[in-house]
Amino acid sequence: MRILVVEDETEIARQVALALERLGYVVDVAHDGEQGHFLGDTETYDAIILDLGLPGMNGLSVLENWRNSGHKTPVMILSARSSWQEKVSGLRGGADDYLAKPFEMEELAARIEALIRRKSGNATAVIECGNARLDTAGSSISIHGEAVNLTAMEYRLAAYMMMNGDRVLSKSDLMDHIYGLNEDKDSNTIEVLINRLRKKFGSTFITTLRGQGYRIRDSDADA
Amino acid sequence: MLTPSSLKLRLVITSMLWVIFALFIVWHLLTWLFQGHIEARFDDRLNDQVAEMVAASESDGQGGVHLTWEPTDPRYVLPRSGWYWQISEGDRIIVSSRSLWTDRLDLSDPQKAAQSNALLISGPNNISLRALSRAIQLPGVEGPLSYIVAGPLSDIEADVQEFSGDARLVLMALGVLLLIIIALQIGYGLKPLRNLHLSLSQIRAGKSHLMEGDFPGEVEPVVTELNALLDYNAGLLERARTQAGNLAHALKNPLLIIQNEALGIKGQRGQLIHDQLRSVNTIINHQLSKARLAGTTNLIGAQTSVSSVVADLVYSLKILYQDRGLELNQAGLENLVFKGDQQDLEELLGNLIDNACKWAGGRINITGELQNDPDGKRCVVLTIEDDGPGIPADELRAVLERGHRLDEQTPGSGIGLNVARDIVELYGGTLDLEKSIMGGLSVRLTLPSA
Repeated sequence: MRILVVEDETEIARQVALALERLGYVVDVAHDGEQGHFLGDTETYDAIILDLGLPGMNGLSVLENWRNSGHKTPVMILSARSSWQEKVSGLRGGADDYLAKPFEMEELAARIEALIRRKSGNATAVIECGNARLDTAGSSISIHGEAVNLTAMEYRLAAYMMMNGDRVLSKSDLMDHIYGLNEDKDSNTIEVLINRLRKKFGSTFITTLRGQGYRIRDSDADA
Repeated sequence: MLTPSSLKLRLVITSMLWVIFALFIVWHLLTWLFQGHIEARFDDRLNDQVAEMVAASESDGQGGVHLTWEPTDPRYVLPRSGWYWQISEGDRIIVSSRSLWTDRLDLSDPQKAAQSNALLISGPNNISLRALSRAIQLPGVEGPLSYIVAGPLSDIEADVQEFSGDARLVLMALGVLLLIIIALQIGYGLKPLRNLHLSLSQIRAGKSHLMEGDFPGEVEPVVTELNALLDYNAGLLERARTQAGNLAHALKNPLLIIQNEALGIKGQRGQLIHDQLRSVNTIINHQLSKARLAGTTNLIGAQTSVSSVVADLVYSLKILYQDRGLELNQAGLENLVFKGDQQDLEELLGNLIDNACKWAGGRINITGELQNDPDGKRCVVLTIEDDGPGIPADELRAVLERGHRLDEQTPGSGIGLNVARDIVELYGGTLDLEKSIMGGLSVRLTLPSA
């Protein structure tokens, strides 16, 4: 679960990034409109948090540019400007949510979680795959009601795969969603992580499709 | 429009006055000139007649005189025709025209009669005559003879009157023509002012933002000034809104940072900071939204379509409340036009519909209609109701009071209604809360209609 935060106020960017990282997200931060636009354009994110009052290129133009070039990543606008006129123009500009500053971190987290979940086509906060149960709101996965102890990386990978149901996910797709911008990307880690998840959830939890990628076990097909 | 203060009417009336006065003077002058001319011709004729008679006079050899021939003009023969001649010596009449019959012509003042000018005398039947008399000393005649030729004054008067009548007719026609031309000229001359008026009403009707078109040099400065004023007004609002936005940006970022940092402070102190920050934020939001209001001071030409604002808000709220799957119904909003600023209406309805969304069970109805208020003014009546829990009757009043919150868990419900009330009051509308038949709260607004 990878998130881009575009916010010029470094302190706020740091706080938001910190709060999201605690919840298991990988967070990239951009401090101006141009950098933000570039990252959103070239990297893969599950959600983007975008401030409107940005130096360089204003948030609304950044958003419109992304939408015009076909990016469908869910975008949440963060803005100190809370008039309805600004909310309407932000949402009409293609945003999926609008949060006025100041906000409570819990609210931000809940809404980001909802954005990502909706994007992957899941209506509820709880996603079940066989015995495994993902609680996106609580950032936890349990088997038979017992919480599974996972590292941040493991959680990210498992949650991303569970949210995407029976879709086949390529290795590079998985890497895009669990690695941050400045992290060393090693394709072998995916295999290592997959093996660790199989140990924790059972060997049939993840199927390898040779040459294509991985797929989480489709619980319905199995039943 | 020809109101008493209308420039056109003033110009037409003053022009009418001087045209009538001038033509009246001209008429009198012409009549006077014509009369002089006619009199001169009349006198010429009398003079000729005298000359003719003098030429016909011949001494009879005994100191007397006789005419070798008498004037043949029948007017001198026809009795009492008004045309007479008479030759006398002192008081004795030597010979006179037959038309004079037994009467005689008397010069009231022989001294004066000696002058060559014609004079007025009273003839037979007291008819005024214009007479010319000459005192002639003929050779072979004893005393000077007095030749008098007279014609009726009424002939002159009739001619003058006829001329005067004709002249009056012609001058009246001329007057009417002049007035028509003047009216056209005034209309043409004042056309830029009418264009100014049209241009202004376009702005009032919201069809234009600036006065457009070519205006002559005399009107141009007014147009320029008005445009500058309109620009300034629009700019003022724009600046106020930009400033409110900048201030929001400047205040809320630090507020957010402090709030997040305070999360690290546990217990009562942390709660205190949190609560205080929250109330600061409430105040900032309220004051900033007030600063953004255009209100009636910027009303020139402001018109806002209710349905397009509601469409924008419904679109936005459906995104913001996606998970709730709310049903937002609209009815009767088409063709409603609010007489006021678009952003004000967005803020008003945004707050109220947002509130309804927060509380609704699943359905929100937004209905509108056009009504006449008690003063007969047309107004837009909007009702926003939800199927939520509603507000107990005894609390309805308290809800509208400043900063009152019904439920601390639903942030901004109090402030939203406060902002809405501010906006409604600014436009002289009303905001009423009641219980909806849907179960929840019903907010009924009346706003000025364009």
